[in-house]
Amino acid sequence: MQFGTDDLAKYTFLPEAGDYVRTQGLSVSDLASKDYRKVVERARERVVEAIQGAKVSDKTREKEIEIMSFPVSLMLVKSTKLDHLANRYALAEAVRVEIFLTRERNSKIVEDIFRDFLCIRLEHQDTSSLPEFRVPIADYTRRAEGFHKAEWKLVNRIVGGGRVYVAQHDLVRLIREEIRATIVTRLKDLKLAKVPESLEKIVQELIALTPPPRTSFSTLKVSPENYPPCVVEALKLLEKGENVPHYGRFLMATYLLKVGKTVDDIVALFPKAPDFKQNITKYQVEHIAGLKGGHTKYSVPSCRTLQTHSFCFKDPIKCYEITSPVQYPSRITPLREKFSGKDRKARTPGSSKEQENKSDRRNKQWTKPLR
Amino acid sequence: MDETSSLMVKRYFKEYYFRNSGKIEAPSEIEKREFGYFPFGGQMIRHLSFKDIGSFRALLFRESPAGVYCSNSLYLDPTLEMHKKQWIRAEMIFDIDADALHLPCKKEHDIWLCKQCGKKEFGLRPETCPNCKGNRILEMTWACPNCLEGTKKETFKLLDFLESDFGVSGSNIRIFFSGNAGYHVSVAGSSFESLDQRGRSEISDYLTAQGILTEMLFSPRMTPSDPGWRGRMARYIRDLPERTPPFEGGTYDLRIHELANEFTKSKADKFLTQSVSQLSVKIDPMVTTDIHRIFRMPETLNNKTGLVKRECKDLGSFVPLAESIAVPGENEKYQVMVDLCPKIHLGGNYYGPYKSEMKELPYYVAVYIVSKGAGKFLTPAPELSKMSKNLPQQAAAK
Repeated sequence: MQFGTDDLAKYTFLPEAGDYVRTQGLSVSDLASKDYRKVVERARERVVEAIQGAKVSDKTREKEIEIMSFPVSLMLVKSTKLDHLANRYALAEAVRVEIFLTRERNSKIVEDIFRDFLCIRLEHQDTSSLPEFRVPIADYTRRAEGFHKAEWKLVNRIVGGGRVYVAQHDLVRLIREEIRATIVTRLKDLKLAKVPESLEKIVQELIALTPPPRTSFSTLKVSPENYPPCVVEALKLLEKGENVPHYGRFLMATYLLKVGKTVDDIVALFPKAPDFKQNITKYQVEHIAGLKGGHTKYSVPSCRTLQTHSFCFKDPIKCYEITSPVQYPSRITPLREKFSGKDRKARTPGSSKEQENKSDRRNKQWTKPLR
Repeated sequence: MDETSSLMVKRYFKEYYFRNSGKIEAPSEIEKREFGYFPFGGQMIRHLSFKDIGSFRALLFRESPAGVYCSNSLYLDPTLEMHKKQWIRAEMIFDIDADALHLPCKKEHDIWLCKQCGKKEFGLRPETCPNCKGNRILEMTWACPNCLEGTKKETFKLLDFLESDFGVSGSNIRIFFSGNAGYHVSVAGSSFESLDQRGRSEISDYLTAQGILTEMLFSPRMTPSDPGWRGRMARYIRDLPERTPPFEGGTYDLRIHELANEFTKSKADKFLTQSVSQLSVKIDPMVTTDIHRIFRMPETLNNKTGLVKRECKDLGSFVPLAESIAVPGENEKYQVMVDLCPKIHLGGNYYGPYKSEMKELPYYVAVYIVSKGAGKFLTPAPELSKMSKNLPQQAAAK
């Protein structure tokens, strides 16, 4: 299918949009000229919006400027030499594409972008009461595994004949990460020519506007009373001399290593296990710590993996929206308590009957009537 | 296992491989697979590779291993350490084991053993030993015909999911009796082969209904002809007998109306838990999600029982405890001192229960009991008693 300029203004990441810019014969030195002032200004705006609001606005009414400003904004970002800005910008552009694709009324365009850009053959059917697109299961899981919310799990989707039934807005959300990755790759591959002085000023402005990257800590400082409930359960079972399933042991070893315990500290917890053998346990913990075998240091399994292996002992408040035991909070924040929905009544002593009725109604209206 | 018992079991395995190794098929792309085996009394030897099935069969003759395994994964170089092998793809595999079904018959045939005082009894594992109050207690599980019938039903459920939901063609599915307490199912040649561990977790969670949400599954618009979990649940609701709680309505439409408009979230959650326990498949997630596993090879012997891991061409009519006997024959009998053994059904006959008694049993029954750790051979075969303990290896060399 041939994309029109209307489409290319929306989907500026497509190779066809790049072809369009090339046909215009735009060169870097041209950017200093007054003719391209609007293009440069829009390119700057795209990056500033990404820095300040993590979202690039819709200015597709000026189609040509929208198409041509995208490669210029890539050039600006590349010139800053800030990797974290590259990631931030790519994500904002991906969100912009996602919004257009969600609103796209021509299902053929959606199908073509999926086929040409992602090699995914969608099936489309608008007549039944089921979601309109069907994606091969392997293509779905590969993309959905990055999402933490349970509604993305395969088990919470309608699956038949090897395909997952997906509504357009979900389908589009699935590929945000790929669009982001594509833009990041384009940024990495971009050969940077010397930018004109007028653009250099913009580059300096963007550097000043960009906040510093977040730092990460490799070791957590957590006291035992703040261990997550799954780790506590594993420790409790070991203490009682009961058998701890494989994943419980793996979790415990990775978590305790993460919080700074030594291999010997961890091995010392095992003697009561019914099948304890000192040398085997030590080898296994050393293996997990990356001291033996392939020297891969294993990370703490995610909450989702622990659920798969039936070793999740969720605290409804403190585990609210965490995706890994390492994120288990040491205290309950008011926000967490509010959104967990737990103990609502307890927090509002003497709640009126009206409030109780509301809660009751909420409890009853749990199905999604449009699905 | 004592020396005599080990020699007798190994002799049995050797006899089986001598007669039957020709039946062991080469897995597809054999040179890209990792092989491993357990020698009797030894540790697992892994990271082996064979260019053809002939050299693999030679290993079986030479070693008569206790267990023989092959990866479901393909690697660029299967002989290297795991992180250097370079994974290509893997067949999807499923393991259904009777132990996971928690059937009521477990308490009749399972045995627990206190590692502290040595007490051994039939029944489910107690929290603490009633004799010494110790808590280091091991479980010894047994699979009876009822257990294996249960695993067969689970396997049929799995096949329905694979064919209807995952669109896998029946010709890509192979079913095996594991040679112990359940079934192995493998799916080759599908788009699932490229799935990594996380993708396989999603498949596993789908089958076990792990993480299923009430609000995503139940819908006022659900119909029995819907695909996937939604249709399966709709058919379950439709087929419930009249006046089955929590529903008051007798027709499908009335029940869906109740579910959508009258059930509270907690009532719907409770119904979901109860219904998915019947509709989900009790697979072992560890097996399905592990892409670096080596898996018992078809037509080889299971060291926990001496039975064959056998392909089931017709699962419905397959009788596992009769059709998987490695070396049948009622005439060759040996004396076994049986410690504690429940009533077992092998080769169409019942044996036991036995408690601290000496029995003369057909070779395959004796191997089964000894391999389960419930007894030991008292008398070795004549040639073993006369010759050195290295004899089986020398015989194989000839």
